[in-house]
Amino acid sequence: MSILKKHISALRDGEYSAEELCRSYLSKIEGEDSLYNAFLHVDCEGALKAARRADEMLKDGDAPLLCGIPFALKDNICTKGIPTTAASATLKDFIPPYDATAASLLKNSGAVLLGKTNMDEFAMGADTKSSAYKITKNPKNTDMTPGGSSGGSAAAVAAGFAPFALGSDTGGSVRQPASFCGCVGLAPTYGAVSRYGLIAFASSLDRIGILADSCSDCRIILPAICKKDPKDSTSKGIDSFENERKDLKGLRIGIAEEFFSDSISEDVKTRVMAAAEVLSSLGATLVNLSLPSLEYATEAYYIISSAEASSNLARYDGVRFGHRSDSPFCTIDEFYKNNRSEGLGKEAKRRIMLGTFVLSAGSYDDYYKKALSVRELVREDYRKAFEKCDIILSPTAPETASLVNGKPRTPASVYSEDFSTVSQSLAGLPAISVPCGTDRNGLPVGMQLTGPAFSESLLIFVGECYEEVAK
Amino acid sequence: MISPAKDILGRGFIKNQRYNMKSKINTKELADLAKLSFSEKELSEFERDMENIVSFAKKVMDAKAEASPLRKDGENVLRCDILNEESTVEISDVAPKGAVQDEYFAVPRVVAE
Repeated sequence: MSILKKHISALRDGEYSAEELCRSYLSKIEGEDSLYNAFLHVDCEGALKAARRADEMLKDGDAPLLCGIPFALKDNICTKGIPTTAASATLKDFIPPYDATAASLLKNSGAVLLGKTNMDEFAMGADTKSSAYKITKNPKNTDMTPGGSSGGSAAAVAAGFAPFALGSDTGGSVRQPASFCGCVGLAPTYGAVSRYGLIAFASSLDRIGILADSCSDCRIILPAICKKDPKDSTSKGIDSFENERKDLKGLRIGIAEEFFSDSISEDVKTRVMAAAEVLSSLGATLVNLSLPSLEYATEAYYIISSAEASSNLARYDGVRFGHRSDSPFCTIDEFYKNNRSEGLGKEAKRRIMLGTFVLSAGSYDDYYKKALSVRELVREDYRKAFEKCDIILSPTAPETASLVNGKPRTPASVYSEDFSTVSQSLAGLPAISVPCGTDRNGLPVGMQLTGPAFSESLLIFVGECYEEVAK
Repeated sequence: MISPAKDILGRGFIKNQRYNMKSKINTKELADLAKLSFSEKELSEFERDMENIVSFAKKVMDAKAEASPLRKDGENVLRCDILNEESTVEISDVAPKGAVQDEYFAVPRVVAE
């Protein structure tokens, strides 16, 4: 039985109370988080208060499924009265006056917020090392990074600090850390979960996703956060979570050659192809296909996301939001520059600079407009692919987790590793990372299942079928 | 018709602010536009990084992409990308009086509210 199902049934059977459950998680965090640095802020008092309220709801009966279940939130999801920094020094003292919709839906269903997890600053990064506060380590091997940018959320789930956590996925930031930490990471269709209260990085790509212990846990959590929200004009919610399939017979699984290029490590390729064979043995048919536009997807993603970031991060000028410098200034421009330069980290500055460059008059057509065209090609390639198959199987990341103290690399070589996850973000498609074994060093490998818009239920079902056999 | 040379906030670009792709990127001018300042040491490091990132991003120019990414030429990217089919728009209250007929000032109804 999954961890979430176990807690749900135990809380209803009175085996233990929500307060007892909450205390056990808080004490685990207190005792062990110094090893991993998964959390930026733990809200002991608020969590215990929420747990007592959940116990009341459970006593009254008819409590929602997640009532009394502890969870963690990535630190770029706003929480009323609790610091929300997006791991940036510029938001060091920011305490939001409101809850993000996803956070408030979970709180209203009686779930218990334990705290806020570490991340790359403003979700820009893939190893949780660009946080202004601490470096998170992978619970599977503390010499390794947990991936990123939702590395704190993934580490919290993998270390057993929370049965589930929410993260944000702009170009793979939920799926890649899930893969590195050996948990399940679901990036729902763009618009399925409201972005209201999510600190914006790239608004046309950002989505709130789930990190959990298993696919069946994702099936329980997803309906609680997928609601149409009038506060986010892009939100649609999901109307039905029903899955019509009873098994995988006749399911067509696409294997795109572009996802298995030479840049994918042999260990990862082997594990993912072995998973494909498992799914095939359960009745699925493997279909070869091609997604040619993937060749340019990573570059297009970085151009579009940086352009949007340069706009979204303009608000951290020390007047509207963010750090205010004590340095002297003569002009308003100098004042802004002092505030922004002291408050923002190196990676955030790089992205702002790239975004400013691609939006500047001489580069707009060559970079930005071209990247938007590539985005259309990617969407079209996926649309054509889903005429031939029901879902697409690929590695979640080209390699397993990297060393925390590895050699410094150029930004471009780091960016190009997002190859497996950015195309789904450009197309707004749902994708789930499911653990599918380990490499020769014992580090987790993740396989990624991508489906058409709003096919989350099918993706979770395929993951559940795999988990059942892989057990 | 809205000029395509506007960024995603709809701001016009500074005239004469052009970057020749083949020449070295003027990191200092970019930093000015982005309201950032760097020490000399930081600036040279950022110059290296920007050269590296821009040469990576340049690959996108090789794509044979003919699809039109915008519903209408010059339309604000955020607007065309984020509106779903059910969204309705209306003219923002903050639109200049002389320009209320300009679609550019149409915003999603919920935002207008």
